[in-house]
Order: sequence, then structure tokens, then C-alpha cells
Amino acid sequence: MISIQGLTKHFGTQTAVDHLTLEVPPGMIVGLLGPNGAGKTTTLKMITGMLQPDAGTALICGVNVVTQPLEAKRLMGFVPDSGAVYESLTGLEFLLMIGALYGIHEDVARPRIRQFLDFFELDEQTLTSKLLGAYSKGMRRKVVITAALLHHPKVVLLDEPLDGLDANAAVGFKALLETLAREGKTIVYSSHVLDVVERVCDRVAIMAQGKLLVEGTPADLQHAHGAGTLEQLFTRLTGLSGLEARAESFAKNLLS
Amino acid sequence: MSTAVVPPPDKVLCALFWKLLFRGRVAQQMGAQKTRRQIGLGITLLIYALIGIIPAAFAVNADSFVFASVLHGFTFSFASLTLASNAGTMLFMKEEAEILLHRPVTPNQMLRAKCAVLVGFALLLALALNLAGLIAGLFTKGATWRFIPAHLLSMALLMLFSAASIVLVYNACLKWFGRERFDNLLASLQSLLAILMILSGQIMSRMLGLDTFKHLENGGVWLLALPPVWFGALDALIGGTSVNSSTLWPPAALGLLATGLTS
Repeated sequence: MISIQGLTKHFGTQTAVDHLTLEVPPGMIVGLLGPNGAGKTTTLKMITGMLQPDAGTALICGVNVVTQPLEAKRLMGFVPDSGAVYESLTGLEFLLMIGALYGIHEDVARPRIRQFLDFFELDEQTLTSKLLGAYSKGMRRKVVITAALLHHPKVVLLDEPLDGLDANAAVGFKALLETLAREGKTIVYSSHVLDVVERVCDRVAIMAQGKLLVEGTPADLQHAHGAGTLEQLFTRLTGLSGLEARAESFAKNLLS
Repeated sequence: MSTAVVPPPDKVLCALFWKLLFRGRVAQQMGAQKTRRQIGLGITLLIYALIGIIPAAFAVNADSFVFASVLHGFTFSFASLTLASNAGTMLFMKEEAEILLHRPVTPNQMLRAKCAVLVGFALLLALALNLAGLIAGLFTKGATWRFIPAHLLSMALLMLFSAASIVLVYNACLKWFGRERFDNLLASLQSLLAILMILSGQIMSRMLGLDTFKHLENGGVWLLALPPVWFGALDALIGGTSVNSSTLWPPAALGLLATGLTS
């Protein structure tokens, strides 16, 4: 599980994350929503130990990310939104290297990689002979997802994981997430795509300007705020109401 | 379940950075197929070994101290130049944080592995560059058989000093300028380092004919500022020289001190 208490991060005078408190129990998929600059990625980077929080704590299955970073990192798998990889390695070299960092021997890693290959319908020839720099965005994303799940983490953190995946792969990946959650994995899913979050996540947490605005099941939150859809709830809470009218007016001006 | 031992993260990182160094950006841009690193490394070392014949050709009439300093000048210019251009890319890969920092490795482990790879690469380049000089150095004035071990030792120290200085300079620039400005400055910085190192190589090769070089005590004191002279003096003290050895102690000590401080 993930337990976040009063997590705070400042960049100069700007507060990126402001006393965020959130609990994600095992077997749960929580959608982290928010407009650009809401603090979602900063939150994920603090949970994964990539950024030091200025205040507060983040526990991964009871392990403090700041005081026991290596132990905490072994328990989690992270898919960053950048989808960054070493472009001069082949897909297989990259995955074997990542596996070795988690203490997984090549003999164990190879069959696991093959399972992911089959699942994502990746060509083995491509994985072994082509450098990652030559992969399409979608193929690279599949490799990054494989790298995040290869060591069977208890906690999975995803930042825009479907970016670049084709429709079939996206459908398959969503089903995979639901299966992982049923097996007891804790999953945080950060995305801008509200309908995907609504379909995949058990609960949602909406952030704006570094603060957690609401947290609960989509149905409960919609009911409590009198919103018909998650999209309506989101725009209402994040102060972006009237967007459709603004867009219509902008388009008219553009065409006139 | 396999019982085979998985290498520790430090070794995994060293193997990774070594591979990245030889694949490099050319491989990324060429894109499609895996390159054969052995061929790339072999050709690089062969070219360096050929370049090393140039200073070696001047060995016969030179004093061992002057010759060793010139060899170090060449090494400092060519090997350090290659190192400087590779180090920036390796030390400050922008996307690396997103690839490795959420894995069970510490930033210190990453830096240590990078430094080990850079020093290893520098030593290989230096060895190739000095191969001809190591033999030719035996025929210089005042040299004994100890020239070979002495030169190998001083060459290793020079490259350690060089690699450590490059890491320090890059880190200082990163601290002063910040990540974003540093990225923009990196290309200019690499060009500046290249110019400085080529200039130092040019100066060193012209030293062969200078008498002041052989008489540090009589007006050649300014030469103490040149790192190749520090390590050349170390060579001469161990391997023998016709130059007054009492004048060689200060530059040799300076070389050891600088290497100790930077690394």
C-alpha cells in the first residue's frame, strides 16, 4: 500500500505539492487527476524517490521512501510519462539490465520478458536486434511498461501510461491493470484522459495547484458534487467551467 | 529458479555505461541495427596507437624528461579531448533520472560507475597513444629500463588527474549555471576544452627543441604550470634523466598532489 502524509515540495517560491495526504490500499487502482501544473508528476517523483520532499512522508508498504530509498524502490515499478530509455541499447539489453538492477538473473528475466513480448505482441527479432532509438513511440512504451513490471512490484505507479499505445494494446493494458489489482497490487494511475481513468480506476484523487481537492469513488464524488460525469466534476473542481463556450467563441474568432 | 549469482548494481551500471560509451550517439542516429562495439573500440585504439608514433619519432635526440613530458602532452591533448567530449554526454544525460533514479540504485553508485568507466576508457586510450613512445623512450638520453614502468605509472596518474578534472569542471559548471543553461553551454564548453587541449599539445611538441625545458631552474619555472611536465618529471625521477633531478622534485610533487586533490 501507499501512505502519503503531508507531502510538500517547493520549487523556489512556487509550491508544487502542498501538504498532500493520501492512502492507497492494496488491490486498489487510484486515478490521480489534475490540470497541467497541478503537481501530479511531482507527487509521483517524490513517491518514487526521484525528488526529495521538503516536508511529509511517503511510505511504500510501510517502507519510508526518504530514509530507506533502496528498499522502497525495490517494491515499486514506475512508468514515467517521458517513456525515456537508453536509445543505443536494444530492447532486450535494456530489459536485462533493468532486471539485473533488481537482482533478477538473466535466466529468470528472459522467460518473463518473453511473457510480456507475447502479451504486447512485440516481435522478438526487433527486441534483440534493433536499438531502442529506432523503435516507434508505442513499442518504446511497451518496453518501458515491461521494465516497470518485470520484477513483480507490489506498487505500480503510472504516469500517462497509454501515451503512444495503439487501441488494442491500450485495451489489453487496461485489462492487465485490473488483473494486477485483483492480485493485490497497489496502483496509482496519473492521466489527463478522464474517460480512461473513469473506466479503469476504483477511486480518483483530483489535484489542483499542488493540493488534493477530493478523493473517492467516481460515482460518490459525482453524486456529492452534483456532476453528471467525471469530466463535469473535474472542470467544476479545477475551475475550468465554461470551457466549451470559450472554445466555441475562440473558434468563431479564428474563422472570422 | 536459477541459483546463478546476479552481479551487484555497481557492476551492472559499469557494464551499462561502458556499452553506452561505445555505442554512443552515432549508434542512436544510425538507428536500426546493433553496432559491434569491439570493432569500434579496436579502430579507435588503432588510430591512437598510430598517432602515438608521431612523438615517438623524436625520441633519439631528446632527454628522457623532455620526451616523457611531450608524450604526456600528446596524451593530455588527444586522450583528454576524447574523454571530455564523451564525459559530458555520459555524465549529464537529461533523461537518465527517469530511467534509473526510481530503480534501486543511488546517485552515488551511478556517479562512481561513470567515473570508473571514464577512467578505464582514458587509460585504454592513453595506453594506445603511448605504446610506441614506451619503446622509443628507452633510447632517450639518460633513460634506463625503468622508463617503461615509470611512464606507465605516470601515464595512469595523468589520466586519473585528467578524468577527475573533467568531472570536477563539468560538475562546477552544472552548479554555477544550472541544468538548463548548462545543457546549452555543454557544446561550447566541449569546444573550449578541445581548443585548450590542442593548444597544450602544440606547445608541448615545440618544447623538444627548447633548452629552457631542460633547465627548469634557469627561467623555465613557468613550465611548472603545465600538467604534462608534472608527470614527465615523475617519469624522469624514476626512469632516469640527464636533467638535474633536484629541479624535478617540485613538479613531480605537484603532479601527485593535483591527482590526489582532484580524485
